[in-house]
Amino acid sequence: MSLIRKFATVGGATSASRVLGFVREMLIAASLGAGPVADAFYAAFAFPNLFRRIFAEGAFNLAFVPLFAKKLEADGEKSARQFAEEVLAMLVAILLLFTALSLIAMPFLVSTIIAPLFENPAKIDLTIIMTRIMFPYLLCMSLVAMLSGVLNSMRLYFLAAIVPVLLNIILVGVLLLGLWLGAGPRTTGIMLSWGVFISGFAQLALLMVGTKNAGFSLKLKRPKMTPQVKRLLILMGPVVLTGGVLQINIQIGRIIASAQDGAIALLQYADRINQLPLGVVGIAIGVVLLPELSRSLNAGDHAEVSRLQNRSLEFALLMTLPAAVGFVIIPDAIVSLLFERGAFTAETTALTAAALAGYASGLPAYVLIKVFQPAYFAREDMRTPFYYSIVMMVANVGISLALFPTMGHVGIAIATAISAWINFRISTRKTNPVPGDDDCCIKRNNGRIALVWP
Amino acid sequence: MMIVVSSAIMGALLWFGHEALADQLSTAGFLSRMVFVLGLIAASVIIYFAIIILTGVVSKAELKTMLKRG
Repeated sequence: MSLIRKFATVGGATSASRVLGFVREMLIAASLGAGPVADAFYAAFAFPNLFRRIFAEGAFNLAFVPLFAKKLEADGEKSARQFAEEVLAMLVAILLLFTALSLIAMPFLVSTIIAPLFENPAKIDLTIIMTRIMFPYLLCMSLVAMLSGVLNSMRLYFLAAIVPVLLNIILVGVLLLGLWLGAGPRTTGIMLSWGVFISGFAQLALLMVGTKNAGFSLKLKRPKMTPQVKRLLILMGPVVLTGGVLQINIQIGRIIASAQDGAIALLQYADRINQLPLGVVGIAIGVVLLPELSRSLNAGDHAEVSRLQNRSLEFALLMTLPAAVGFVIIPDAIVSLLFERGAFTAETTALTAAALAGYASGLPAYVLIKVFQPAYFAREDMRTPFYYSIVMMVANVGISLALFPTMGHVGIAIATAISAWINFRISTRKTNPVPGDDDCCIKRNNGRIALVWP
Repeated sequence: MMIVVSSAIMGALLWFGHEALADQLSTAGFLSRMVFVLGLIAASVIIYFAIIILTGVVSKAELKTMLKRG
């Protein structure tokens, strides 16, 4: 199977999830608009989702997969299974403890990192209730991420890519039920939270069946800090931050946005549109490229490593640059078509469109970062992208704080885009992502990419 | 380089199309708006990929695979 075909398989499944995600978002927009319940729901949902993105699209794909793939290739299935079971035991123990502590401390978490600038007490209470209902989703999604890593390493990409569709199917069902019952915004919000809770367990159950059918069912052992688990945790430390840096950036944006009524919902709607090309192309590259790179590196095939990276760069730019141009030039027409009905007014369209243009100006950078990061992670170099991500976060916070007083929520979107470009710029200019490789194509491509952002 | 040039051409087309029909759009119904926006996007995408294929950035076969599976 060619690299393009593998991207297309994962991208296709992700597309199905994104299309249903759009239907879900359109129904939420029509039911809740950019009102206080929408703000509370998105703030609450963002918290377990933040970890989901970091684990599913970050740490587990970037730290667990290379180690697991290496074990599978070098030591065989038995050794790989033992490693996976050790990791599973530790993961379950850590997550259960973390979930229990978070549920107890939820009022504190809401007032410090989830939505610290909410002022309305009813909105704060609703956020606490919703976050408590949805938080166990994190436990399920972390296990889903691990099982997805196992399946991806066995070159079974489809099930792991299609499983997020369940979340959208259940939430669309809940929203339609709410509309049919004539539920008010608050009841709809609570129903949505329970929908998220149920979907977490449904996704986990499906992947457990999938891994069992693939002949790789895992047993839950007593947690032990073995050298292999320790190595994974050491590797995961910086990857947790680096892999999910875009999500952390967006979360910082949400925290600052909680000072403006409706801003969290507006940024969410804009980000949803922006995530379409990012999800399909960026995640497909990240998920497929890393195992391929790891395999080629282990085989010592440097020509193949260069080829993989060059093709990924071209594919990323080919698909994202026109999308970014479209979002920047006609954001109002796109937002109006997708969301403007029910509680989502023309005024909400104008506010969301401005945020979309801001986010979209960084779209190529978000995807290009996803191409460059696996090159470091595949070599188990976790430090360099980690330092870059720190620079990116500092830039994001600084620019957001500078722009927010005058531009409001749009300033946050622009700050996210500028900081992504900064990350990309330093990733390509300061270090060659293929150390010791004199491949002229990479240098030529860097020159081409520099043209995009003079 | 051709990706940048093609995107710029596509952007110009989107901008002119949007400006030309902006007034009618503000009063149009949902269906008319949908036809206009999707039509404009489709035309731009066709032009973009036409330039990309004609200049040899991506082969027709590769693009077919992407579109079929994506």
